[in-house]
Amino acid sequence: MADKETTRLCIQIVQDQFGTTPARVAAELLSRGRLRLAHIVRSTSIKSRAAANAILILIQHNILWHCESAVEGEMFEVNWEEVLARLRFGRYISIARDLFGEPAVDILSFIMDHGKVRAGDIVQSLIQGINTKNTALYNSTLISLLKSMYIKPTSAALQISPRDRLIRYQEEAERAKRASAGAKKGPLAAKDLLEVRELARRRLKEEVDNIEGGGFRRRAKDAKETLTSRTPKRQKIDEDVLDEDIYLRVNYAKFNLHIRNRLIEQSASQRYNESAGLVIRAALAAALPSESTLHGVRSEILTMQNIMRHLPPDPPLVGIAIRPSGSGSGSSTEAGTQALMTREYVNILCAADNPTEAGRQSAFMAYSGLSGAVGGGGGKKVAIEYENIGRRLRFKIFETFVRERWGELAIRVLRLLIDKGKMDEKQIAKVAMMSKKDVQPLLTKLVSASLISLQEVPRGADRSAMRTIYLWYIDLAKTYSVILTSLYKTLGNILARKNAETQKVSAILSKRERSDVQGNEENFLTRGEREALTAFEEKRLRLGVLERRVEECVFILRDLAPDGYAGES
Amino acid sequence: MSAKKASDLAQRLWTECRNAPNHTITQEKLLEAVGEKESLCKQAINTLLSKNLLLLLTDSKSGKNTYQGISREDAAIKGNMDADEHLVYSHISGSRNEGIWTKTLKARTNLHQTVLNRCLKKLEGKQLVKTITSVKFPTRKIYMRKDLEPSADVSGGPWYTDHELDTAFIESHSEAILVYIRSRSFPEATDECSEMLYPTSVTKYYPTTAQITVWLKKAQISPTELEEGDVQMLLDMLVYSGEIEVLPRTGFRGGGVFDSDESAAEDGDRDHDESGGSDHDEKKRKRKRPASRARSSSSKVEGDDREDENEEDEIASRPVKRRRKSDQSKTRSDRGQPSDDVEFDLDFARVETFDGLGASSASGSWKGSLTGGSGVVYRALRRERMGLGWAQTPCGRCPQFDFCSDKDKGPVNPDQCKYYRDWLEAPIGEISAIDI
Repeated sequence: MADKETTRLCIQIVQDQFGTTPARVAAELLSRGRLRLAHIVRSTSIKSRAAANAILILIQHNILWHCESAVEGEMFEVNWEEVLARLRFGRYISIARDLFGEPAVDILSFIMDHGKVRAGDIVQSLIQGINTKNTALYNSTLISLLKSMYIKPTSAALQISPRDRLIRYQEEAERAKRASAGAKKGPLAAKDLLEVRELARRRLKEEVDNIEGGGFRRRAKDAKETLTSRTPKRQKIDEDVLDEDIYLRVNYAKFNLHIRNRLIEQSASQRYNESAGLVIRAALAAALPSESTLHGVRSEILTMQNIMRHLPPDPPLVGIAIRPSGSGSGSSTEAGTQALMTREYVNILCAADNPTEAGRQSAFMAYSGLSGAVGGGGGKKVAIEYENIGRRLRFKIFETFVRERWGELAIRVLRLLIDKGKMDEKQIAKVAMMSKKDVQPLLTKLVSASLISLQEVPRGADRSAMRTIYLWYIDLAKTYSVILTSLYKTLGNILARKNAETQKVSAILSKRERSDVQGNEENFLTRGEREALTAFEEKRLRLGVLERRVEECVFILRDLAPDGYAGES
Repeated sequence: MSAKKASDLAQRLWTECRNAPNHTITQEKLLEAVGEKESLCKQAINTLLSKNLLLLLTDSKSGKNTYQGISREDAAIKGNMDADEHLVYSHISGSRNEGIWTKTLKARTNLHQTVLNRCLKKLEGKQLVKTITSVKFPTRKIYMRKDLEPSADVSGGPWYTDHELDTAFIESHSEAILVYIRSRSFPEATDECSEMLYPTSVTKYYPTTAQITVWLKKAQISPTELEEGDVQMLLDMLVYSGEIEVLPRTGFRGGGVFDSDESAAEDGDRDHDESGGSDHDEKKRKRKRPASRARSSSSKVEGDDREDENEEDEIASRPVKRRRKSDQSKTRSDRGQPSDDVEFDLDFARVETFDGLGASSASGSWKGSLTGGSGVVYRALRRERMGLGWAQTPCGRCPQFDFCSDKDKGPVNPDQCKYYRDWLEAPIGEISAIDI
């Protein structure tokens, strides 16, 4: 279940995109957990039919999980991550445009508008009113979107909360274990329990993979009316044809990879320079095909050639103060320089000159293999260290936040605490070279913002304040969740403000929507109205940009840490 | 024995003591040095002791008697003191530049408070002792000999002015150091790229603590001279501020480790080849250093310049020669990989290394202070502006953020938020001014 601020944000999003009734239903589910329809009807006092319709809409848009409990009957639960993902739809569409062009934008928008759509219906609905020549293009785009997993099949099984399914599989596995020959009476041993859990987890994963990996059918003779019959080119390449009866939805994970890659590239360009950004982009592009989620600790192992292949020939890499000597002897061609530069940039991105722990933590890539990079014999391959990068980016967000709010001195104190662990006020003042009268109020501010915590170490059994040492420390996991909550709250505020601004001009907006006014604004709208609209558009644009930027911070803090902040230091 | 002779002997004994290292000499050596009868000497020594011109000490190791010669002035001072004053003075004097707290003094001397106060007052009146304040214990009254300066521990070192941490001083110095490290961390911008980087193999040209200390002394930012330890503190602080990073000086010795198209057998060959190459590089760099410095110095000598050019020509031609030779000896086939044998030309990466030795660098035997000092160097970091989105929102710096809620729940709400109104109405240029 989501916390207060997340709930507020989710309700706002549902309100914006689906209207009041679904928002009220979602609000009830978000604040109370899973509920039966009867409960929802009773507590929201919405009519039963309206509530049921709202639930249907939300299920169609993958926002609700469906739960079948033997005791309670049919229940519903909100998948809040799915709601928050809706804030990124614009970004996803823009990524799709870059990758696949306009048809992909149409297809994606269509799927997003409908939550999940039967594969056969997509192109059919889209080409109505469009030139039929485009059918082939739409079909091939749809297939390539599906093949590259930007959209994925879904099924009724996936409408049930994965946690429920996991529990059920665990129970089944446990029962099987008990029933198996040689099983002892009484509770299962710890080892068996572990095995049971692993079995259930694997079964769940297999189930999801099976459903999501599908979508194609072996081309059979009776399938003459399939889409491929209209796309002879595809027919030659594809052995499989699109299964028209499956339902498709957008695969956020795949798009998130692109967002992540862009952030990594941006970070490298800022930390080093543009060319370093190009090299890491090439490496990321080389690693992308084998990835499907953000869960990987590091990328697959990349060779130098692999990275070079993904480097654009233009602009050439520049920016390192080296140049191949012996120019004029013919050996230093442009390609040679490029190779040399790439190598050196890989060294820089691996922080090869800083083999300490701090250097390793700050590196974008690492040489794979024990031999390392030293000596030249081994270590010819690298991997992108996603987890490392994620940790760094998170910390950068944290740093920016602290710097903006409390200034440079706060950064100094916090980094000091991260580096040294628990410290008392005097030590902090000494090492950070700040006077005690500056440190004291700063620490108080930071502790009231829940960024740092206090550890008491009593010197005697009486625990009197006089005889107690107070040590300050920072728990990054806790700090990050505090920041994430603040970000949700900020997003909620932005959306609320956007609504409030829209409310102010709602009369003019609805006037503009009138069929006689549309395209004829000059005549029907007064000057004051037109000015108000322009001002409103400007405000909406600003708030929209702001919303996306804040959302980016959420992405770094939440999505780049798919396994939580455990072991964060 | 005449009185004159006795005083002569005393004079000689005293002179011997004063001439000895630390004005301290063992009894045996003293007697040996004057070469007089022991009984006579002892008599003279006793006279000197009574006049406070000698001080009897016991060597802690050997347990032998040693004597310390006291200057006439000090003896005169001591001569004018009474026993209590002397006791107090000796304790204050013994505490050296650390000073001694009145309470400790009382406990050590076992004197009554009034007596102690009287003694201290008298000593102060004679301009022998002074009170100081310690930065650690600002409330304590601490006495110290008048002629000594308080130690760094007591005064707080260079960071304290009038017993308060001088943040402006710290800021100005850390800024200066940061500027210096930045200037050494990145090569000059070229037309192609404004954000140049040094390759990973030249870490030894980033500044060490020792170099920064020397630079700071020469730059004369303030009359206070900072020692290496002080500079280290500033550097640590800068590291914590996230402005610079610390890395080992060894650098990365594998310019071109990255050829996966090579077979293992050839790898071995090239390893050898490369290690030779890096040695060669090393020499080249060492050679080049004086040349670059000669050029950077204001007094250019024509002859020097010519030499430099010759040297550079020689260097430039060397890699080519080497390659030809290796090609002949190993009869390697052309791999179509021109990059394989390309060497880094560090000429491009020339760093204006400040070696702190000044003129001696012109001799050509360049060692620089890089060889000394600690094993770490400092490099400036370019600031990443990630996650500015939140910083740009009015919420990011809103003082009422915690009170803010929905419109129906309280007076502080985003719908009527003043900060949002200002933000929405501010011109774009002013919004970007929120950027850090």
